[in-house]
Amino acid sequence: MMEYKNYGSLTMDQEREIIEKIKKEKYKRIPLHKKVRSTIKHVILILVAISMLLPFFWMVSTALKTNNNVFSIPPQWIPRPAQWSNFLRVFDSIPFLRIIFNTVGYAAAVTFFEVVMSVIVAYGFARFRFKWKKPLFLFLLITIMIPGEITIVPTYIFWAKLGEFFDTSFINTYIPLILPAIGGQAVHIFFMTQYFRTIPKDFTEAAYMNGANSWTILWKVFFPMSIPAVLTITISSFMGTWNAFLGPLIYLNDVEKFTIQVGLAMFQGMFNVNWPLLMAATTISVIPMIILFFSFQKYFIPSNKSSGVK
Amino acid sequence: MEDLSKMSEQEKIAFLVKQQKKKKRRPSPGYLFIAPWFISYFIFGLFPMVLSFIMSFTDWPVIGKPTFVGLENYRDLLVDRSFHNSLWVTIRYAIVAVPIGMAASFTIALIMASKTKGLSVYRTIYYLPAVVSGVAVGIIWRWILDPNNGLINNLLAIIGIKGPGWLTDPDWVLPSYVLMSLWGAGAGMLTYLVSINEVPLDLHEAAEIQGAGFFKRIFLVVIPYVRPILYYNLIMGIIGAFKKFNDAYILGGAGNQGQFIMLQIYDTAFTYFKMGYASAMSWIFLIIVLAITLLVFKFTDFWKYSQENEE
Amino acid sequence: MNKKKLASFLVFLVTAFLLVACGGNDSASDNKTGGNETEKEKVELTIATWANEQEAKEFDAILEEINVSQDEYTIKQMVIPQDYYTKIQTMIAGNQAPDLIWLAQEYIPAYAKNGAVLDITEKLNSQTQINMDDYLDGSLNTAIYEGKIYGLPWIGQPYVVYYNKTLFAENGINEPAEDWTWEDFKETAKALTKDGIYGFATTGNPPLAVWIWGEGGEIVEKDGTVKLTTPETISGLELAKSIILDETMTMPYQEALSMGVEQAFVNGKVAMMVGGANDDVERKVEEAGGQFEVGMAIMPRGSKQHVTFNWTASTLISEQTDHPDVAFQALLDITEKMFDWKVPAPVASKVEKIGEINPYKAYAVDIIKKSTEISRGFNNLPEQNELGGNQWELLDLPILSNNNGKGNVDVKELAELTEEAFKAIIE
Repeated sequence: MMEYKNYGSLTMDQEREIIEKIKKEKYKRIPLHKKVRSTIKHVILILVAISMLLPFFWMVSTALKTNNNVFSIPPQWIPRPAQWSNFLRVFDSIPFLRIIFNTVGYAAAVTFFEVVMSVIVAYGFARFRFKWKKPLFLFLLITIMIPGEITIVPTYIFWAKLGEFFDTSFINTYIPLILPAIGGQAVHIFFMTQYFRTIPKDFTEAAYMNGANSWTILWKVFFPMSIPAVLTITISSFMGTWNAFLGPLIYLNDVEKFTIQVGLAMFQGMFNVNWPLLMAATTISVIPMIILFFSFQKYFIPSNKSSGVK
Repeated sequence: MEDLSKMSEQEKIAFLVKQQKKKKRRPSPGYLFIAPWFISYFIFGLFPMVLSFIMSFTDWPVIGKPTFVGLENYRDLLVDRSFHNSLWVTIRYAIVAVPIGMAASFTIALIMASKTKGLSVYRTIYYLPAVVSGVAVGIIWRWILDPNNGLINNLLAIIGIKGPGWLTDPDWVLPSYVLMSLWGAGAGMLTYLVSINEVPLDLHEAAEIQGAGFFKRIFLVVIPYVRPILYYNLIMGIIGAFKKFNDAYILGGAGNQGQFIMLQIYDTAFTYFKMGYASAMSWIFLIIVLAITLLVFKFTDFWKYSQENEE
Repeated sequence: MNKKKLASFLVFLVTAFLLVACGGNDSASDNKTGGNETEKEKVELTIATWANEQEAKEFDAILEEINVSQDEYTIKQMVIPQDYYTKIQTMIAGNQAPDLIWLAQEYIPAYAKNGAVLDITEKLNSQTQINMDDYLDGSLNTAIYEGKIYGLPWIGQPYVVYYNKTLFAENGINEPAEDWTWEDFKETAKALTKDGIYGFATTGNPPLAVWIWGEGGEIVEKDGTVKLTTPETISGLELAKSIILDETMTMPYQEALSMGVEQAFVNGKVAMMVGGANDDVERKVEEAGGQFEVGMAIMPRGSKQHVTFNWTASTLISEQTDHPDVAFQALLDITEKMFDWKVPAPVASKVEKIGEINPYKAYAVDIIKKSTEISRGFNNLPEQNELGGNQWELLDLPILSNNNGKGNVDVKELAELTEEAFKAIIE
């Protein structure tokens, strides 16, 4: 981590000392006020947390029901008896392991390209002044606005024709799903551009003075400073791919090639939904992402140059 | 590359000036950095985009031959009541959901950036709703909002209030969708959080010395500092609200009040066999969202903000 | 240095591209060669289905049987678990359509009109494998567009009335007779409605068309004439309204919607419901603890006609197939085998065997047989989906939900509005 640049005067240190003293005084005098505030804060936090968790609880509880007590009235919160076997049946019903494996590979490939390339492209937009920059950036935003539903068919035709041109077929492969990601992803580029814009120029001047070029500065200065932001797009990119539905559904034909969301859809026929299995499979499908998020979340704390809002 | 550290101070300056001049002649390296995305988009994305534009001037049932109809699709859209209805539904939703969603995400982020015990657990829990997607979300909400046996109305019944019909009552469809969008506020929280965490300590302290309270500090220190991220969330919020599809696709809503524009486009293209007409809808949609985005640019300092940081 | 790095980066990109692309090529060509070596002259065909995880397995078994029984072709299943028509239509647009396609009755005219599926009338005339006279008209008609046959129906599921036999007995009410009318139905439903139990519940089953047809009305003719405001149609709608919105016999829509009609029936909260003849009602009641005995009755008779709705779907041959003749042979083989699948086959000779195929239905073979004889589908037009969507919004939903709970349902006014919308669509 780059240390925040001290403007180099002694008065700064003196100022800090004074601030510390003021703080101590303040907190000594009114500890009760602080306690009350903190209690209220926690009560609200817990209430909101419960409302966030309830639907999850219902999802898991449905996963443990039989087809018949899914919609029983009054609703059963804790199903009796709990059908733990539903989780195993998921793996019997469809090649779920294979499907998870596919999705991990697919998501990893897409995430890698999207994150690395988005950082590079965003750096170009955020740090350089060049002709046509505004229209180019606007074009990037326009591509986000285009309704994806309307480009399904043209894109499919494109891949089908491209396949014919190369005398092969890209349909029923992961190529149409992964390849378009190699230049980065517009939403992530937008986010990283905005994030880089918050980084003051001062940080790079020293590096420039030492003869570093923009490429080095990106990876030696900007990248390390932006780990939390990079992790944000990593999570979002991985999740977006993990949860992608329409693309994999359209391009993949074999059950063995399905991704997780398409696999989940198989528990939901046109006329008959197998709720418990669907929820069991959904529960399994979100676990990797919860783990991913939990392992990353320690980075989402105030950096060493700040202490957050108190 | 010449070794700058071995030069004298004067040589250094002379070298840097020379480099500066060189730079002026060469195109900005910015082009090289942004090239990958544009190249890949021009290869993979441009053809579909152009084709969908051409499609909008045809009558194309997808499974048959297209016929060129000129501007007829656009002319029809001017008098298509169900298209206007879905535009109105979508715009109303965006007007309500975007500010509320931004405020909610920002508030959660502020709390998450503070020094509070157990934050790592809260952070994960608040982010949880963002990880579930697709059909599961729709089904969960169907159960939460069910007028008779749903979670919310059951809870309201305990304190003696008769809950509304939610998605089955046309007047409550919009509030239902706003509520659903709030549940996912945790996803937006993350983008604010990373930038709030970067607000320099000195700024806070300087403000505190001058007697600024909690809220004043947020408005004077935090918000100006994270402005670019606010713009990001504003624009993405608008686009996201306009492109609302997934939960509406599963849940619908009484009296056509859940007929968001994307749903209308999807049905028109794939159920009603009118791909050309749906394309025309998409381009009208695109122009509307683009116009709103340009308005945002015009009335904010979106472009100006970071110019001093550019080269 | 700047350039070098970027150059190396570009090299990296290109290599990555090639690696990914080649990987794809390899697997694609692997499949081809692999297929060719093992089954040399066999043509490869694909059939698209909307089967769920369980049906997909059963159907795979059927296809496997067919594949080993002849050496002309191998056929495999392409499962499209959701957004079936979106994918099928996209594939057709990309010239990648599967050889055989399942289509529900509403979609067939549009596909036929646009030439996306093959006219098989000629081919059917010169084959003997499937006896076309055996087909029930109510089903086969849905696969016919402008006099030409485009597909072979594999399911013809007439709608019937399921009732709670035990509850009937407890209340001393006679079980439905074979010639019962909607008036009898009303009386029965009223007598059963008490103690929180309703006689009937509906969220759209049967379709309003059943009441309309019964009174001699029609929604649209095959030639596209809209018949929504004829006196017969209106009286059918009035009849529907008098049943649906009467809370002394029918569960309020909201309640039925949130509980699910079938679930309410299984839980004993509703005494009668309308469903497909092959719905898993008996099994669900048994699994829920078997609190009561399920009975099945024929749809009540209208004043003009005794008729019920028929849910059918067909298998069709894509116009894009490279082997129309082989695909036709496969269509015959598959359809023949599917007649013995769990679904009620749309042919007269198989109706009696429904009890063997699905033991849960053995008790009701007679009723199902009679129902198939009086069953029919919609007069589907190429614009059927759009018409159906409009009808649901403008006519069905206002009647079912009592104008979203606001009351004042004026059937005539609704029918006029719907007719206007229909005419605008058909033009």
